[in-house]
Amino acid sequence: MTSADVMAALAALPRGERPYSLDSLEAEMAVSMSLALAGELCVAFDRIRRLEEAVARLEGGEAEAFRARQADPEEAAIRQAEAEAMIARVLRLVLDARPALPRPSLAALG
Amino acid sequence: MRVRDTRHDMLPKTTPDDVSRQQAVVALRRVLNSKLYGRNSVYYETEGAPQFAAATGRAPQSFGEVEAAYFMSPHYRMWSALNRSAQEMLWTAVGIPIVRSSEEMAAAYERLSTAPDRLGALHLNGDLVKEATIDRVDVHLQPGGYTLDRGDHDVAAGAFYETGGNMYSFGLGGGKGDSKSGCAIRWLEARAGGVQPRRILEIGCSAGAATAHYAAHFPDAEVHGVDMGAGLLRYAHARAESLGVPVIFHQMDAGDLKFPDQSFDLIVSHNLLHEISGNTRRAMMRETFRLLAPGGLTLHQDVPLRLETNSLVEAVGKAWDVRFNNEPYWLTYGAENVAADLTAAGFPDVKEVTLPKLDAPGGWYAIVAEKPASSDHAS
Repeated sequence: MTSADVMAALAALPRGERPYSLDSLEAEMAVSMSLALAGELCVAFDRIRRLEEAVARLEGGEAEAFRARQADPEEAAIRQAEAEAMIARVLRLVLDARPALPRPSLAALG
Repeated sequence: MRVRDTRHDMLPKTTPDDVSRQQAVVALRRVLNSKLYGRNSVYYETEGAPQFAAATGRAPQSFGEVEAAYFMSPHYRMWSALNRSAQEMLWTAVGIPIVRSSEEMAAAYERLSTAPDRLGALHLNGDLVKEATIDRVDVHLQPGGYTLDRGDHDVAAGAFYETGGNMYSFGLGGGKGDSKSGCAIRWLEARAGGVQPRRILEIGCSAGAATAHYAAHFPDAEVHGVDMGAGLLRYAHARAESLGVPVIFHQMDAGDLKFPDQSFDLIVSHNLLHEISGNTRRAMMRETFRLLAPGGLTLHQDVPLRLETNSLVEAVGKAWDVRFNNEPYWLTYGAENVAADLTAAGFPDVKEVTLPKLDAPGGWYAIVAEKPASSDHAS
């Protein structure tokens, strides 16, 4: 069973309606997805920490010292550029702003 | 025996990522409970109630109006959305290893429930008519509900209940040493004369964690647990076998217990009162009286939700769980005099007590009573 199969099987179990709290259903879904992403980020952080500890053990040092290691100037510049690229990807819709085309609606039909 | 986070063969196998995901949800719920929940009353006063007054020209008065006023506060709406989402995330976090381990858990159930040297027993009743509300609702949002039963080896309901319950408790600030049965045993043993039960019944035993604890703590007693969910009971039975404690589990309705009169000298329930209707609860109290031997004790423990001590605004704030966490009888339990049910059942001296938690802030509410030694009320 793949991880996607597991999620599909799990999603088939709950019953009943889902009460919403916010004025917009779309906003509530976005909040829920953000919260889930925060949870997945915690999972990723835990993995990074385990990897740091493994690397530190291989090097015969302490994980804390490994984490405290500063990037040299050249590496720091590369990381900065990568961070900017990632932020640009996140803000793509804002950076690539265009005039809005209304969605189909009764109001648009007049 | 530790009740929370106990290792046994029925638990789903977790990966490090599963554990990280569960810890993230615990952390999220701890922040929501300790940092945000307490602000809701402030948001009601500063945002909700003023907006209600602006719209209607008066203060909210009824339960429904106060509830509507709460939801006029944008901060309350956001807390509510986050809290609901966190509860769904809890079931996802425990559900992933449960679904992934379903074949292994079914195999463990088969091995433990058919072992020639098993200590306890399991009596299922496929003809049991279950209380419709509980049967049809995913109480606490547990996927599939307490009565999830997809075949004769389905133990998922028990796995959800135990692993989800642990996370729920930890998210409220509880530690791994927390135990409702532990609180009850400590209270019972502190009574004058202590307690040495020979036959114990737990009503609404769910995944059997407390039942197994009673069996381990009172090794000379015969311990029975009843619940209406077959999936819960299969899991509870195999869990007890894995832990090496003898428990006899039965599929029964709490208000219609098929045991002879005076069968037990200790009858307990844990967090059951808020899960059942008033009618079932009153029937259960009558059954408790009938089933206790003269001189026997009963203790029913639950959450400290006594709405008569709250203002309307506080009561509505505590009622969030009804709609958003599928707790159909939350208000019924909180508003009704459950101690009076024991009195009406025949117990002459019913006490309401607080059981301090073992490894968590606060205490549990409990009603306790003793059946008179000379009682001839058995029906």
